[in-house]
Amino acid sequence: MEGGYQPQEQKAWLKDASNAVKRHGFYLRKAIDDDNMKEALRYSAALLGELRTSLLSPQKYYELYMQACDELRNLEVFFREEAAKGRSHAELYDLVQHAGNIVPRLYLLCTAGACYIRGPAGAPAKLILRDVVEMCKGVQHPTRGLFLRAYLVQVMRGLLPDTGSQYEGEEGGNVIDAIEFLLVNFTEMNKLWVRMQHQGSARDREKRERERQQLADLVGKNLTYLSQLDGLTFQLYRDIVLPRVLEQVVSCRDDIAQQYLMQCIIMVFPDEFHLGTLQSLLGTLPQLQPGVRVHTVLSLLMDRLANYAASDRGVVQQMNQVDAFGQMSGVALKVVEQHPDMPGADVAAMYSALLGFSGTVYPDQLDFVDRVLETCHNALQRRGPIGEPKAEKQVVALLSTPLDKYDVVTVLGLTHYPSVMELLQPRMKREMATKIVQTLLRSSTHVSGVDKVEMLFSFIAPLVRDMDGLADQLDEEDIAEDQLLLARLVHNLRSASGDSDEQFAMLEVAQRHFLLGGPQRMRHTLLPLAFCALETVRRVAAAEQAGSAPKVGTARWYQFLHQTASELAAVPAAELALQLFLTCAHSASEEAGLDVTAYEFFEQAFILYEESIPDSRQEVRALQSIMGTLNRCYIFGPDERAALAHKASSYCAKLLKRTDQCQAVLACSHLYWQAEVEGKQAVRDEQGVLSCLKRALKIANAAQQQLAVAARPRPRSATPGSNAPPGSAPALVASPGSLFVEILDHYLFFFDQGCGQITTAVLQSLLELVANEMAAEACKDDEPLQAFYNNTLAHIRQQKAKGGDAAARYDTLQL
Amino acid sequence: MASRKRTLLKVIILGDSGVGKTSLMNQYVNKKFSSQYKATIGADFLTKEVQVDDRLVTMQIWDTAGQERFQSLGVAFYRGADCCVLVYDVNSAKSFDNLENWRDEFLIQASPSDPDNFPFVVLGNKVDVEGGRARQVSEKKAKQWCASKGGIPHFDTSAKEDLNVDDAFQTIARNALKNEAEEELYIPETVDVNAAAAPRRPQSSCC
Repeated sequence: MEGGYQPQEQKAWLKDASNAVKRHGFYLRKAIDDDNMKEALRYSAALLGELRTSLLSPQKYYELYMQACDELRNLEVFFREEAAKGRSHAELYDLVQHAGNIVPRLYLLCTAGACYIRGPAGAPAKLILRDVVEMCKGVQHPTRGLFLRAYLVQVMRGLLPDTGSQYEGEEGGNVIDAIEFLLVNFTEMNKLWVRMQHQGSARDREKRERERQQLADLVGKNLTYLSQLDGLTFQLYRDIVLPRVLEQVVSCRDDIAQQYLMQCIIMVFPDEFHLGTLQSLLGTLPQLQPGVRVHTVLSLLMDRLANYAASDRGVVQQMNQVDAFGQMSGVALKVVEQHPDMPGADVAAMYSALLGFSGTVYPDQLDFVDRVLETCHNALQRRGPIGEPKAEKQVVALLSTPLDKYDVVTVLGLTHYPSVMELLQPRMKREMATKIVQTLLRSSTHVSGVDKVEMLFSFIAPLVRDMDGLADQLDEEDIAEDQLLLARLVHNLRSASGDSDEQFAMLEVAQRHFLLGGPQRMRHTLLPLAFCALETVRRVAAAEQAGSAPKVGTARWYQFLHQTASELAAVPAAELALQLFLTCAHSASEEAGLDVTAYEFFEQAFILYEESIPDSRQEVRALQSIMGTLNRCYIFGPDERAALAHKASSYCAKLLKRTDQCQAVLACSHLYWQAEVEGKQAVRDEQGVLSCLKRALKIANAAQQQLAVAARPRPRSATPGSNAPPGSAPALVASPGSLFVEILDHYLFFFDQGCGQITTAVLQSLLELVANEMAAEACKDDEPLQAFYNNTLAHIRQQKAKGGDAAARYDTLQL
Repeated sequence: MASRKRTLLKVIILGDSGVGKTSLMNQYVNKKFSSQYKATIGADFLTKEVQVDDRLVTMQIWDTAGQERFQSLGVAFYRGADCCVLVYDVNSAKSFDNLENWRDEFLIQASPSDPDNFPFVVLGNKVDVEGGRARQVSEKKAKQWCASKGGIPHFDTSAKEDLNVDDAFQTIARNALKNEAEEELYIPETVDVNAAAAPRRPQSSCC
């Protein structure tokens, strides 16, 4: 009978029934217009007869039901008017019972009963309510019965003898009667609802359960009405309502009903009621069916109470009085013990909610967190390793909850945090480690102290080194992503007292762990580690110079840096290591004033340059860095400096391309001419400068000739596929013409600086030479080059126009 | 035809969980208020007789569950609504942001014949909380949104202190009444055929 339920058929059936209701409704109104009670009742019964169908799904039946209810309201008005004209309600109440079918009869009885109570003569509410709620037992078909009773409470809602209501009284009864009515109706509805589960074939179970879910609100509605009674005091709730409702919930032994109704109870009744009846509410949970997801119920309750506590701190004291936390953890434990089959995911979810609760209600009680983790660990451990994805996700959520609520480092220090984390598979441990680092970074939490750093590294080990069972699951990109987090994390390792000795010990720990990471990881982690050290070295050097030397002195710090850079070189990451050596050299020279140390760092950089820089592009970059750093180091004596400068300039000639050679030699000129810095001895070697510039000019000429030999078409700046490296201006690298302009620029720079070897005469002849080059066939159509050249000329004109000393020096220059 | 039919206005109250839908209805219909939070399950209505100008109408006010978990039978009751009341909590920006969803959902499910001109009224409830210091949604912002939706009337209300509740529902009734006039009445295809087809005996008509 109940099979089928195709959506199309459903639509057609609903349409038929709905048309019939409309038709009968039309005649009902007509009968009312004619004051014809008999006909009115007949058409009412006819339209209500449509509700006898078994064909419709609950949602479609609901539509039909609402339509019928709309029509019935006309009848209700008619009843009232008839009563006003003197027809007795008692007579009406009898009359409607002549309807032939039970469904229409009972709908009419509810309607007439409501009018009877409301009517001028006013039947005692208590009696009518008792009668009708009893009579409705006549319909035992679940869907029809549930809707009938939904109608009953809807029409009687405002007529209950609630406290303060006009229907309360000696005969009408009091709030106890109102409660009784709603409780009986609730119980009967729940029975109908549960019975539905056991009707029909096992095949349709899924569909049946879906329909039951749809009908849930009809049953739950009774609880809403109960909670809205004005007379419902806490005592009545505790002594009558809750015990009766819970009794029904437990005894129905039905998964769906228990799950739904427990949620209803929690959401429908007020916070303080729950706090006062926590024991009975929680005591019910272990009695529920094994299939009920108790953790969702418990979570809902805990969330509600947590919000309650958050809105009113006075509540926390009340919670302590009833030991809310103790009760909840007790129940959680009991639930876990009684349901050994409860999936790990649910166990974790439940404890996660408990952690959320204690985090909100007891923000200072970290021992609660540890207790929860301990019991959760025990429960999970008995269920074997966590491998199922849902369970894994829940355990990660469980471990993440306290991270957000408390100080991360303190949480990690809890005894049972690592033991829960230990239950996870390596893959999830890595995920958890990522979460921990992200939380640390997001909250800008500093990790201070050697033991804390060690502890942190024990948690994030899956990010720091290869783990068994994980290595083959990660690709290079995963690892690189992890290392970026670690690179940021290094900067959060900070001694709280600002003690550089402690900082050193902490960084040593980090270094030890990073060195276990293998080349793939060290490439990313060693550099930020070194920069952290460089930051502290500055402070240590300042302290030493002020005469209060820390235990770990600069010498030891530079050893640490030397080792870190050497490890980086061995990765191999020669270019990074070379840059690091240079940075260290500059630090040793300018911050600590250690010439031997600085020299050693340069030496290491030079060795790397000679032995490990693989291609000419990197060579050019490295050489520029070397010269840049050397230019800014003032510590060296003449001999050391000469050795380093000589070595660097000898590299220039060994570069492959003439253009690179020329630019390198130009850079070399700055090794002989340092900027004046207060308190430092700047090198000013005019001969050295001039000889570099002359060499550059020679190389530029050679490059020019080389171009003629090759007789290749002059490369265009915009030529696609040119070999220019990204980021450099193609025209300037490719064309020897631009070298001349660069040389001119350098001459002008040193001329401006007051280098005596660069006289006006020297400059004048160079200007003419460059002008000739620029006018030559090879250069005159090269627009970027001409623009470059014109900028330089513009500079000269500007200087001339400036007036004063500068203009005087430029005065004789002819353009 | 059906001359005695009273004018019945169907009004639906929508909004997030905990914004005070039930409280507003209870304050308006029963003049009662409770500050305890009690979730509403499913949907049902209270009725109230109201005087709009010279007409006495019955307003059927549907209170609904803000929580989706308590809306198991669906929203078929949207159909036939004459006005939709959107409620938010002025102390919760999220509840205001969600008005857009509630409005869209209502228009889809109720499918009124003229969705562009369907009457909505927006209520910003709980203005009493902390004397307004906890307010997250300014009246200006709310009114801007209302204007952008075709000039929806907006009221700041407090169900607790009975502030603006009557005024708001008066507007709701008035706007619903404008909409109600368009509703069609069901008339059987031909009276006689159906009368004859009706079981047992025909109507006692005098033609």
